[in-house]
Amino acid sequence: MLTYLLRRLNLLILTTLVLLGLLYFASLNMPGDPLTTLSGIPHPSEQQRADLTETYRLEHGHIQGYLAFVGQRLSGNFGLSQASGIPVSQELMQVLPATIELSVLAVLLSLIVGIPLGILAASRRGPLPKILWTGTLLGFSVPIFWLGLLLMLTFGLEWDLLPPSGRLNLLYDIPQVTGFLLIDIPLSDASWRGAALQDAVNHLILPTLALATLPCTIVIRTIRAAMLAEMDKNYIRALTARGVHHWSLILHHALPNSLAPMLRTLSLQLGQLISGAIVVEMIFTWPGIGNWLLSAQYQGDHTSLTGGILVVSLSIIVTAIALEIAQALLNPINRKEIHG
Amino acid sequence: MARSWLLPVLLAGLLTGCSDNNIHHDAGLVYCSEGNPETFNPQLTTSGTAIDATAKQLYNRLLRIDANTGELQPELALSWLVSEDQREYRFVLRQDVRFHHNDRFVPSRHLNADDVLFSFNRVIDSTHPYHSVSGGHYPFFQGIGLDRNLLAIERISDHELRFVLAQPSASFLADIATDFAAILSAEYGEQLLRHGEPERLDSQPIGTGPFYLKDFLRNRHIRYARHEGYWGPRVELDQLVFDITPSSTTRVIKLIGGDCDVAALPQISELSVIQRYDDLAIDARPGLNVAFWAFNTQKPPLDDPRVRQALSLAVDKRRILTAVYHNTAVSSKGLLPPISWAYDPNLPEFPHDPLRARQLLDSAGYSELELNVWAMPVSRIYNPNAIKTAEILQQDLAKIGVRLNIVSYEWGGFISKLEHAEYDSVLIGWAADNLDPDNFFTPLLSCDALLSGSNRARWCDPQFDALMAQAKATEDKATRRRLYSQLEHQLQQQLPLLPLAHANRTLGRQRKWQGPILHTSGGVDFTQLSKEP
Repeated sequence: MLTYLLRRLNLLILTTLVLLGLLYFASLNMPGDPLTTLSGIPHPSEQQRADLTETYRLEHGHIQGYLAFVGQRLSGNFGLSQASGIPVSQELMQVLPATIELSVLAVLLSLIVGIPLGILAASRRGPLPKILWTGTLLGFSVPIFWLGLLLMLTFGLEWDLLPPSGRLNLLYDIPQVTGFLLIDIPLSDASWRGAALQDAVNHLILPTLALATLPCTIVIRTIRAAMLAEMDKNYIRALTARGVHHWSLILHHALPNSLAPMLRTLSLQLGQLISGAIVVEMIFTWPGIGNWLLSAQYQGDHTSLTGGILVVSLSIIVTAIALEIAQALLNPINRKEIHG
Repeated sequence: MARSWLLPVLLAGLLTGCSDNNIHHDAGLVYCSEGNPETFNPQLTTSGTAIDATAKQLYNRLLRIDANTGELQPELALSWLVSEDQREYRFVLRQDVRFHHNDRFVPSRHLNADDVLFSFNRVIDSTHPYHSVSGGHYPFFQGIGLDRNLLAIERISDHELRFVLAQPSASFLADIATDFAAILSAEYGEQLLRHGEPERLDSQPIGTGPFYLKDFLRNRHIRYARHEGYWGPRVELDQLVFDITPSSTTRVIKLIGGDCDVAALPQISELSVIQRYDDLAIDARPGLNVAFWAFNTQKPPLDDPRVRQALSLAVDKRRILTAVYHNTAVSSKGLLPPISWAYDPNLPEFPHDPLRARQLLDSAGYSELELNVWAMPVSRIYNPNAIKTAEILQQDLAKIGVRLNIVSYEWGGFISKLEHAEYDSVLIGWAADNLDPDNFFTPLLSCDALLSGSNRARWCDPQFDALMAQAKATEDKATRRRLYSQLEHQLQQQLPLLPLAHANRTLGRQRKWQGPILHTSGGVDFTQLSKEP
């Protein structure tokens, strides 16, 4: 197990270094002064130029420069945002929690809804499985931007039931502690925190629904496929023969064994999920990293852009590897397969 | 499995919520604004976004312009006296005016003459320690030449001052009643100077206005809270938030969703959407603005008045009014909009005559002509869609054989590139800051404005300049009206720019809020709002 973990860790480090290499190469070749792109200072003075050249070791060849870049970025220095002059890391701290809050809720929702529906879809009786199957096909093929717009137009604008945009009514001035509203609001001591929490939840509903659709269908489909395969196996037959109750069979035996394939598929879809989050943020003006990245892109703020890409990609890599480790823990066979 | 009931219960608790207390919600207002203010000091800018976020919320001026009548009213000055020769103005200040305080600064005294001296000397005195802080540009004051015309300001007593002008100026009082002539705290300025951080004066403002700045998060929001020591009538709002939302569609969506109480600058095509909701309303005021097509008169072939005439004759304004303004604007004959008192109703409409345009071009010797037009990338009050306007111009000019290429950059770059005057022509406009007609001429067409950068036509004509100066210095209204009419006629002959339209100023709001927000003189003001009982 230890060698397995070390190998994963190795992979993490290697991937990160390659990623940083790509970003470094991109930074040097972006339009404009590479010093500006790296540091985010729009028009560095002579003194600043000298300092920055030294910090990023630009005169010592690409290798040294790359190592300096890696050192700076990994120690948390992402440069300044060219648009606002604020450190990129500080801006990231503002926008990341919003995205994480939305994505975690969407994934939770898709698990809570998807797993039971997946079990139901695996049943061999009645019309329900067929209906669910068709439904997932639909959810699978509906483009997320269309679904998001549809939700916003109907629930947000036409029926005026839920807020179609934003994260919280700005009149609620919640002091930022963790950046997660669902945590910060209960933490604040304002007398109106109940109303604020209600408002935050209302704002969350539509974007979470839009974002949860794709992972939810993935969960249903993989759970169904795995359950069907599992139910045909001999140990299930043996247990049935011993008179174990059908539902206990499903919940205690077949389902745990079906979770591993679901996790694997989900982790393969992480990139999709993040790009979905960016689209959803755009539609619902969610003040998260997707919106922030797009506005950095629009304003030609390459320092923010590379910083944001680094953080997004890193979080995908880390989550993917964490999921893989979790799978290995769940199912020792996976480890064996990797080791051959 | 025993805890499996917890989650649904928690979720249900979240969803049903506990709407125990909504009082907080009631006394605050969210205004969805269109962008970040580049400064919190109105002296330093002419951008409407920055003025909206600062002037009427954070500051006061010596005088103010009445929102309805357009007349001058006392604000920080209780009264004023004008000398015989129109060159000296004496002001008596209010005594009970308190400044804001924040974490770094607590005022030790009320407003007095020193604050007024500090605020104006910063602009007019190049040796003032603050003069070159934050760039040292005072575009409004430099554009109207006040930085040179205002010779000196003398302190008579703690609450009395005298302003001395080099030349009499009929618009002086109106000029210092504009949103730009805010009064800042001298004491705060001194403290910042001692600490070596003078730029904070313009980014962490201290004023005397009805609200003080709580915090500003770029691209997110500006929070204001009620200034409890405000000298004026009590303001009903206890907090005011600007939700910075650059996309106009998003502003309308937030207005419908209820996250915005007031939404700035809805696009004209969105007005009908707002009208569909019973709880929403649209405010419109005839705007003190003009959209125009400015020709770079220093660049051949546009230095030839015949070419400018020909190009102008080719333009079909009616199509622009329909396609760009959806008929919510009036076609302009000259620079002055119909609500200005100096507007001349007898001024002829500039004709649309492509045939004569072609003849003029031939006589000027230009059989083929290719020009560029710079079009603003963003929507402004005076022109909601400059790019579309440019496309219409393009089609119109194609009919007389002129090729027009449309150029656009993002707004920040656009404005800074305009300064270099590389364009042949530009579609832009002007929103006036006060009701004085001079505000439409000197900032746009004087030689002074060439330096301060607001003269987009690069037009500097001594005779025209003299006439503008005369009109500005004259006190008698009838004479002034005649002089401005003369200026408008000359404009139609010389055509350094072609006025296109005067747009209405609009905003969307929740019906539950009552009271005026828009001022004829520009800017938004939330002090008179109250909630429907």
